[in-house]
Amino acid sequence: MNCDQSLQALVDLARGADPAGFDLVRAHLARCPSCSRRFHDEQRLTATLRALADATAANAPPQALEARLMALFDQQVAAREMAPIAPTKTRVARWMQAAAALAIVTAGAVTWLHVNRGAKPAEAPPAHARSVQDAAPSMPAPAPAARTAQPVRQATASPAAASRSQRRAAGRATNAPRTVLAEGFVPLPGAAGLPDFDHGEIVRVDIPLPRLPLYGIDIPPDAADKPVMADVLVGQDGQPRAIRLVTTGSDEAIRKGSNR
Amino acid sequence: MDDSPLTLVGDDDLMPRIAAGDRAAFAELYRRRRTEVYRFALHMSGAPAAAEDVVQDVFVIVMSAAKRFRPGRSAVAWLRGIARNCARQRLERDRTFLALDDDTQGGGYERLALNPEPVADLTKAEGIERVRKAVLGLPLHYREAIVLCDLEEMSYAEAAEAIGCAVGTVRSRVHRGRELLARKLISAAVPGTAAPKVAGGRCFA
Repeated sequence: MNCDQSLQALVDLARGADPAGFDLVRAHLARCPSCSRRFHDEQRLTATLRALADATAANAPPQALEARLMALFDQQVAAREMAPIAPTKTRVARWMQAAAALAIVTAGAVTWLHVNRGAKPAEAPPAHARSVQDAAPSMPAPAPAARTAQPVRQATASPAAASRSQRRAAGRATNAPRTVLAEGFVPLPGAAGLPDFDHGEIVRVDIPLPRLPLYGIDIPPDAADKPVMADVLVGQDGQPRAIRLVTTGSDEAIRKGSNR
Repeated sequence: MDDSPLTLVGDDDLMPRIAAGDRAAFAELYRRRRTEVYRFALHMSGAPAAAEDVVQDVFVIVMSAAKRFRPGRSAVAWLRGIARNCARQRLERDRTFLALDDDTQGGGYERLALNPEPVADLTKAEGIERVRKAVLGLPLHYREAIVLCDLEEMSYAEAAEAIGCAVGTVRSRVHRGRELLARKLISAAVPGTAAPKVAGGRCFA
């Protein structure tokens, strides 16, 4: 082994490694003063660096850093858990938009067909629609499209949930005359300011009895505080127009209308 | 997933837990490796504030990239690689550290040998500070090789994995870095003496 060959090995040897050819390196160092001196210098350099390493061994980041990182971790986990919801919402929104567009096109097509089929005799309206037509001059007769309208829908939501505007209108209610419809429908106090009724649906709801006066229905002073079933006539714009109590027997008329 | 206490779980097995959002696993990895990462960054930068920033950067990357950690790989090596990259990025951003000396000169050990015990004194406090500054004065790629192999006492193979180069490259950088370091220490030990410009000694024994 010559000096060039021993040079790399003696550095590794001085660093505490166990290089291959250890015996050969030792033998070379024993007979080469220059390489031996170099070896001792390397050993001292190693000791110096170890002293620096020992002096800095206790250095550590501040405790506050751990708290910051844990807070960041929590935020990231929370963000990751919320992330999958967004695309779903977007997909739902897209489907809703597509469904709305389809409904508009369908409604337009049906209207056009009815306009162009004006000579044809219209089908007999269902009981609930007929009652509106007959008894409420302020509400024009429902269009034929309403005659094929949906059957009565059961709803357990309170009327307030069905329409906030209805409640607001009730709050503004004046002493305007209330007309009781032939089929038991009472126009709601705020319905007078709404666009003319064209078509809609009847929604069955439970109403606390003490709230009925708000919707234009008088109750006995000693009426019990219990919910009663009522039908709400909702117009084409989603606004409620009239209400009737199911217990008046009008439910039979609704059932007949639905079965047609 | 393994239900062992986290203190018994290896670093590699902590990674999937961290990827799954396990807070305790992340805290465990941080407590195990924070000092090593901090010391490395401190030796590389010489500034505690920069070292703290590097530690934060490293573990922020860990929390977001844990899901990309490939099973079968060493988490420690992966972490060291991130630490090395973060430290280098930080140094490149700041460039406020000690000026680097010209490392194109060769030799230096004859001068070291002329002074009987020039390095012995360095074990004292002021000597340690001198070594610290000398390490900071090394060019970056030699500095990181010295820090990883001589201060953090990693093997050449471990350092090569952290740096992302061949083992032979690390070895030659360590040797060359030590040579430059010796020259700096001689200059510092004998004020007013420039780093020796002596060709590498050669014998034909």
